[in-house]
Amino acid sequence: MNLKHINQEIFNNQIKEQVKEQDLNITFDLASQPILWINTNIIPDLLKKFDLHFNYLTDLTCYDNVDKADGNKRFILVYQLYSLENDIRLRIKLPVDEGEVVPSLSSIYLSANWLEREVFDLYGITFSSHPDLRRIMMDERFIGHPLRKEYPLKQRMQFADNIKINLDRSPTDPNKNDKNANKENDPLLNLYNPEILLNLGPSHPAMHGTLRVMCRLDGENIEDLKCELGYLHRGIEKLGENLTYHQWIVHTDRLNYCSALNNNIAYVMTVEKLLSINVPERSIWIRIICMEISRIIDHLVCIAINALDMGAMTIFWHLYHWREVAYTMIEGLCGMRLTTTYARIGGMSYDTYDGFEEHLQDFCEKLPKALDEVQNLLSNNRIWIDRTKGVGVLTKEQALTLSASGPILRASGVPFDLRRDFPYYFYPDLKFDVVVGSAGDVYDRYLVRMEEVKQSILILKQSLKELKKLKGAPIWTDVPQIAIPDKKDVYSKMEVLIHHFKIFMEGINVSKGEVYNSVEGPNGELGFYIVSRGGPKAWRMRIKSPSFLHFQLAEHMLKNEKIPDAIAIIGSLNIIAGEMDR
Amino acid sequence: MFKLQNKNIEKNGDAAFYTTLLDTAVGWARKNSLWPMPFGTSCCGIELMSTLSATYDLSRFGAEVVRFSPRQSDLLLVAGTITTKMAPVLRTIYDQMLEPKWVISMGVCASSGGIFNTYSVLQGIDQIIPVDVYLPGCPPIPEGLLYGILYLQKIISGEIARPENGNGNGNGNGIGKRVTYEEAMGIMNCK
Repeated sequence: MNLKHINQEIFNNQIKEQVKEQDLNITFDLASQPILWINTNIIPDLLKKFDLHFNYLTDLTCYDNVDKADGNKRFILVYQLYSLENDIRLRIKLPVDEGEVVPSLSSIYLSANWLEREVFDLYGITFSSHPDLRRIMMDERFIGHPLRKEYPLKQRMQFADNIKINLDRSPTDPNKNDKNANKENDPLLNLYNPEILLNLGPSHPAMHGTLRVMCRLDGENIEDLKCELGYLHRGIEKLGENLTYHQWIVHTDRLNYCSALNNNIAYVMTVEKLLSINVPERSIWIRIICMEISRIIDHLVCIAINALDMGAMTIFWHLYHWREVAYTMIEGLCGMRLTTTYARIGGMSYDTYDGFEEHLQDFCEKLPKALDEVQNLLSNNRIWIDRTKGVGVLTKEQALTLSASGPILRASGVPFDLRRDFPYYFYPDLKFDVVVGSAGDVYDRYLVRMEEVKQSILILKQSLKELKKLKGAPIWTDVPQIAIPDKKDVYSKMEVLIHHFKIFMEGINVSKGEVYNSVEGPNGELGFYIVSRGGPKAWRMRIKSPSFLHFQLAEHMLKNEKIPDAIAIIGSLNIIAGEMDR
Repeated sequence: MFKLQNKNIEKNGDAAFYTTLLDTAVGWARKNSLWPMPFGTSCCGIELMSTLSATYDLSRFGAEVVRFSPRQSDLLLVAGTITTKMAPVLRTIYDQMLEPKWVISMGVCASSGGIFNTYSVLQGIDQIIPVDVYLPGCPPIPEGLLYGILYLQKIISGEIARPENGNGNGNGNGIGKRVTYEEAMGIMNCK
């Protein structure tokens, strides 16, 4: 038994006793994680009472309770807290009625700012003492709250012009006016004008197509800025409530399209937890290999694009070749390069192809040499170091209160990796290092990613050995209600045909309950929170996406940086718009 | 395309001349020097980058000079989902491009909304800008994009008729119909 799990169990017992004293209700979800029910927002007091430091807000979301299954109130707010010291999760639920005002948590966790804006936008819940409560995904002129159950899936609103972003006109720096007073005599020096704003994006090469930053400049320094997102908000969460669990797998590909395999597997894993089933060992090893391959290609894309944005084009040509090699393998596994849809609930859609082991072995042997070449080009390159060292520094404390995760959190010096700290699958048996940086700047993020690719290669080599041992072993679960029958049998046996038809036309019947499950995705903690009310469709499909929170980091990090550095910083955050906007 | 007037011309560097129609010569020059403006928003944008990279090498077809300024480019490559929030931006970019200009709608999201038939996704960019080539696929593989660009080259050189209002390859369902500025503004203003 893992020590971390004992901690969670001890905590579960402790909280049961504490709750009895305070007349609060506590329940446990299907993965035996505690859910604490409160009536008013007493989270700041609760946090003080627990000895454990829940210093990390994993997620803040909401679901519609229009069917009154969870009490009489209309909405349920869900806070996912995490204690980094003890690796313990706690979910707090707060029922809220329509029109009720909830105190904002953004004074305790800075990351709650955007998460609360999202709830306000999509559900219409208002938060008091919130610094900037306005719509985040939809246009400001949009009417209605799309994630409410009564909002029709296909009701669209089109506006003729792009959304306007206003910055506060008064300069943030109080000394600014004095500084200008000295320059007033010389008109050439007095070029500062707070009325002039610079718009970056959404169609800007360094803004990845969909990000938008509006900044006020003092010379080349960004004095104040606001980030705008939602240019790729596709309503994937709403679709999750309208499609069966199987049909929705394709939508997970289009979240983080640089590492689609990772999303497929994370989602399928969550549904399997909801169904309380296990998959065979061979399937798990295939999944681990797929997740590590996708981590490698995601990091390669991030480094390549970050270097390309700063003008280092050679890296782009070089690394994209290796991504193509990986894509050829992925295409062999599932027939598609980018949008894979490889995993299925209870197994994998196909077993590995003949010769996959050799291809992977070859990939693992040749890639480190290519990485060395790239490192020779970048790591000691004077220009690269000057452009990246000390740029976009994110301190440990900032990273935690802004809920950064993945390589960005580790580059800031927090040794947090879900593969080690909240392990899943066979990761405890695998030997790898958690890569930690120290400075938290762009250069450290690059180094962390580079080293993580090497660690992933080590994991791939170990997993390949295990996979070879299990040649010919089954990849499908033995639960007949869930396992998709073999195509050969579908065409030759009547019962199997009916069974196949039922699985795909009706969907799998999932019992009532909820579960939150997350994996260490390439750019951070990727979680799925599914609330089921029974039946083949989810009641609430929540994606905890790292990129959403990482773009919020940008709003804090870009302040007082120069414009060219802003390009470097945004590149180093690896923001994937599909995952950010969902 | 170019008619060699004297078949006995030797390849010795002597001065020679060709005669052709001016339209043909201009079409030939245009089709081999397309400057794309990539409007990559999502997954298709990643495949677009793959097409530009060394393995597929779009520069073989003269279309590698990627310009992020609409003023400098003549091919708008819409790669990815266009949401209702993004639609005005796309129309602005299209209006900023100078004639002659062409549009490739890469992937099903840009062409028809694809699998995202939801409250926030524009169901096909041909509602707001005219499209010359539609590419199927989610996303199209790089070879598919290369095929689309080669197909567009045929349109530019005049081998295939460009879809126009009322004629072209429109089949009566509105597909291939080129939306006008007024029609686009009408769609974008209605709530």
